[in-house]
Amino acid sequence: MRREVPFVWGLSPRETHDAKSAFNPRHGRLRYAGVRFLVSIPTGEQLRTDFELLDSWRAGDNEAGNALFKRHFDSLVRFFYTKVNEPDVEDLIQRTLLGCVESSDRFRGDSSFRTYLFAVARNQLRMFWRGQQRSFIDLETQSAVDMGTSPSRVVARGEDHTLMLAALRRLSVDAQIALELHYWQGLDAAELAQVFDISPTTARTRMHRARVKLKAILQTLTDDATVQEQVLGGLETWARDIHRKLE
Amino acid sequence: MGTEFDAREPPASSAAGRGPLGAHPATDGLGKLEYQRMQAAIERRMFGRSVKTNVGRFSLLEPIGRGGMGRVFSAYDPKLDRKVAVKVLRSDRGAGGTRLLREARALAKLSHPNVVTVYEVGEIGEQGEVFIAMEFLAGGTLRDWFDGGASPRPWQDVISMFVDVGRGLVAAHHARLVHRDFKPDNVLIGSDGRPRVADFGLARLTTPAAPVQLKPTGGSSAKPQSIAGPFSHFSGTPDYVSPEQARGDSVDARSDQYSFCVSLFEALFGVRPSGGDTLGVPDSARARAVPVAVIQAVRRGLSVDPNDRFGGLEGLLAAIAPRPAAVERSKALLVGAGVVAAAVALTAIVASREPVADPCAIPRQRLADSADLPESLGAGPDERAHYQQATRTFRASARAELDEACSAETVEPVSVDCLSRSLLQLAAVDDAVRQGRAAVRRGTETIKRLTDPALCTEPEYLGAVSSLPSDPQRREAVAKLYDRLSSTQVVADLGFEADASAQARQLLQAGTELPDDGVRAAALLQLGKIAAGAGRGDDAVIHFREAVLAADAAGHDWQRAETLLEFARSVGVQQRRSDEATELLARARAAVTRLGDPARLTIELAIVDGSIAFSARRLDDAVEKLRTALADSEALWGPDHFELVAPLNVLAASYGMLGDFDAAFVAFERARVLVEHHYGRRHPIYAQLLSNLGATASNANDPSRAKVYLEESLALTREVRGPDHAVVAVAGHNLADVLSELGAHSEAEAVAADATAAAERAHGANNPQMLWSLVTFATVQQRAGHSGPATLTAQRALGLGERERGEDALQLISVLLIQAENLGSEGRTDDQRAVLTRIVEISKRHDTPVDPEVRAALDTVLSP
Repeated sequence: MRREVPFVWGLSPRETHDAKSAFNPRHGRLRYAGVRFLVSIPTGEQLRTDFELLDSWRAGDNEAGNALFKRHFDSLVRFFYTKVNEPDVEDLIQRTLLGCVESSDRFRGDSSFRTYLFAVARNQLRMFWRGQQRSFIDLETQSAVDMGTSPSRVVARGEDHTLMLAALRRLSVDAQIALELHYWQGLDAAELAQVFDISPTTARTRMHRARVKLKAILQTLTDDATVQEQVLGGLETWARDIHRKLE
Repeated sequence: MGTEFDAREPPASSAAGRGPLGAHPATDGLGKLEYQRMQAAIERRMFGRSVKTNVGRFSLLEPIGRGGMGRVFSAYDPKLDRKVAVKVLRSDRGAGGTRLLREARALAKLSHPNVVTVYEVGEIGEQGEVFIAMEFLAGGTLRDWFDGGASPRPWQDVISMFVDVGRGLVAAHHARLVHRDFKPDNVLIGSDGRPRVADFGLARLTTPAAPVQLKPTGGSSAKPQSIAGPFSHFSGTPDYVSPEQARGDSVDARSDQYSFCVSLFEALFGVRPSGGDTLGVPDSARARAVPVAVIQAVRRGLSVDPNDRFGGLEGLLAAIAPRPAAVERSKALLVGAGVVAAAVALTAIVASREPVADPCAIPRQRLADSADLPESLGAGPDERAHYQQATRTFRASARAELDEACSAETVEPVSVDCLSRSLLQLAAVDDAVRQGRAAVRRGTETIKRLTDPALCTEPEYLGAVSSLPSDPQRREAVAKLYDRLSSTQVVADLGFEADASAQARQLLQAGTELPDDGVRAAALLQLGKIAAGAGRGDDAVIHFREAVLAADAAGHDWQRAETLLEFARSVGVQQRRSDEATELLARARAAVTRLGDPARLTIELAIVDGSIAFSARRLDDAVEKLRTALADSEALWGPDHFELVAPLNVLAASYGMLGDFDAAFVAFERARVLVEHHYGRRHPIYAQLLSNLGATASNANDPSRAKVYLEESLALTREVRGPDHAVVAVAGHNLADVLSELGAHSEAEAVAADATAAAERAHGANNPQMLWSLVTFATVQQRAGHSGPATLTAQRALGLGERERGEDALQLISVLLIQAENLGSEGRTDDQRAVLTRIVEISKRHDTPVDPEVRAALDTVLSP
């Protein structure tokens, strides 16, 4: 008789959202009872995935949208701040968020929300420049500086940061995105492939070429080989350093 | 070519990707304020958030005042979801905001029920602006209170209110803070009617924005004569300021006493004092009712020469406080108001403290072994054996320490005193157990928590915990208070929290009146622990803060370290505010280091550290810390000590949440064996550990193993707590769930039915707590294929849920799902569609993702 139902229920009880039944979302049902230190397992907003929040937002729930925005605001600031002039950052972040709501679920299922987010961000960046330049934009060959972003606007804290940012901005935009997303946002080759909609093998090649190109650009910016090495090394070790500093 | 890249792990985790903005090279140069502004602007535009300017973590709501010291806003604290008041201060001194900030932080540490609680202090930008976030009080000021009503307040009310206000000032004076601008407008009253003094010391730190208004305002009478000309350099409000402050002389707490008396005079008589030294009182019926003693006290407080006033504000308060109450209080202090017999007995023992020639004689008497516990106490033989074992172990340890302390060439009186106190505690527990006032099991547990006799011969503990004043009379008084404090600890551990709390409050008052900061510190720590244990986090924070200050003042480093650890535990584990907890932990660590890293404090530190990490779900971190704590505990106490239970348990839970179920099993099992050995199987912790083991097994997809644990846990819980306890219902439903998963449907249904019945008995059939029980029961029935009963149970759950939680409560979804399924199988597609639509609507209302199966089902139903 059960088989005739048009859908099959899972065998576990649904989460009841009752304080008493703090289900472990990762594994299943029972909660840890509280011996002296034990506390119940978190539920609610923070456990909802990005895509779940996006769904709710699409259904008109602004709170969910806001929660999603808060999770990714930082990543988006970083993404755009290195590529466009400061006054445009805000507008681009907003366009990207709207882009996420409007665009279809091309990535759903086999990719992370961040991959999806950066793909949309990249697309918005392209459209933004196209509107400004009124011409075809090729992110594979043109750099942020080519698009009119000031080459050395940023006053960074350390000399090598300034240099690193100046060099990144001279790379082709796609190369810049690839390096930044890998080193600063932790995306791997498979994820980069999804952002650019290319094969993982091509993504690896792109990464490799971007590094070579970055090195060449650095050589035009400074003659000091030690500084060049520092900057290149810095790109890779930066995340680990920060990690260590935080501990 | 790509292998190099391929082999490397992506270096930045998502956590680092969201790390602090300033640390990231990508956004170097983007100012913090601009970052915040951008975020707020987008939120406002896209999500309709009325995000305004942020100061620290606080979003300013609207301005509520502007005074000489700066602006005040109401603000929202998103972290703790509460309304706060934020005062923004500006300093125009050369040193900029740094000094202002430092001093404001000192203010923030002051914590007293009658002082406005400061939550946070911080800098805004780099212009020397400082903000102070404090509790938001909606009840108006003290001036509104005595001036705003249709008729004047009776003098008795005024006195009682001002005594409370005065206590706040006294607390500040104890922390070496002088208010300098006390007046009725600076006392805020909460909606609970409790007054809180605000703005300590700020008058000195800030520059008034407007020139000081020297003319008497409104209908008030003339200002005190002693104020100099209009150009005198003082900060504060002229009518309330003391003569010495008006002259620009250095001021101390006695200056506040003067301002307090001006305010009190005004509240009692409706005008501010005038007439120089004579201080005439208006001739009215109301004024005549005020006792002469009060008027004399107020006049003394208004003396022009500070030396003619009371030495401390406490003296003034004692003089104006109603006499009979004061007598009552001191009597209560002696006996313990409303305290059950347990405490009375303790006080009796404590009261018999007499100076004796041989300091070792009394503690030696207390070493005698007691007779076996009588069977009449109702405890099982196991429980009694555990109890006897615990007392014997304790006495053996005390005896060894006592021998050491007494055999030394010169007897170490502090050690003996400490041991004597420990044995006194043991005797108190033993009394309570033998007289049947405390359960045997509780007694065992309390004994294991008593001050370890071994500590009594550790110099850093003694020096930092109970240094006594040198004056012999005071020494005796303080020692007695310490005796009573140790009995308070026992009363608390035996579970009489209300009594312990009352005693600790009396001791706090005694310590304040004496004054002795060491006693205050110990009493406050006790109060903090009781509040934390009862889940009253805000109160706990208040007590702990003040306890740290008192321990500081007393120079009791051990006490300080212990307090900070309890403080951090309460904030981090119970209240889950991990940033604050981390800060407290850092301070605790420093205190422990200062003591030379004594082993037991180091261990406690690691346990608290690990527990906070666990609560913040930094699980790897938790595992690391707790493993260290465990190893150190083993080294100090050996592998079978009950102190290992706590770290083992959190460690196991951390492993479990990390998915390392094998490790979780090992640790939980070890904890289980230890609890069994030390406390017996009937201890509630034992059943909870079994439940944790069951949960681990269930999470490890091993329902048959889970079944074994949960069955035993249920049986024990039922045995220990009785069949009608709410915990029995939870245990039962957990077991039913696992049984159902194993396919033992009829058994599952029986267990769930029992659990539901237990829940009904515990809560009553119509209590909202029943909802979870009914939902679980219905689910088990449904899985058993009994759709008829399942529908009925679901119906009942639905009715209860709608009535108690509303028509669109999230909790209804589970029962609606069962309904929808059964309607579908009966072919009632229209009804089923209605139910499914309702599920979708409820989900949307609560931002919960719609169950994909519901979506699919709806699609099927809608497009046949």
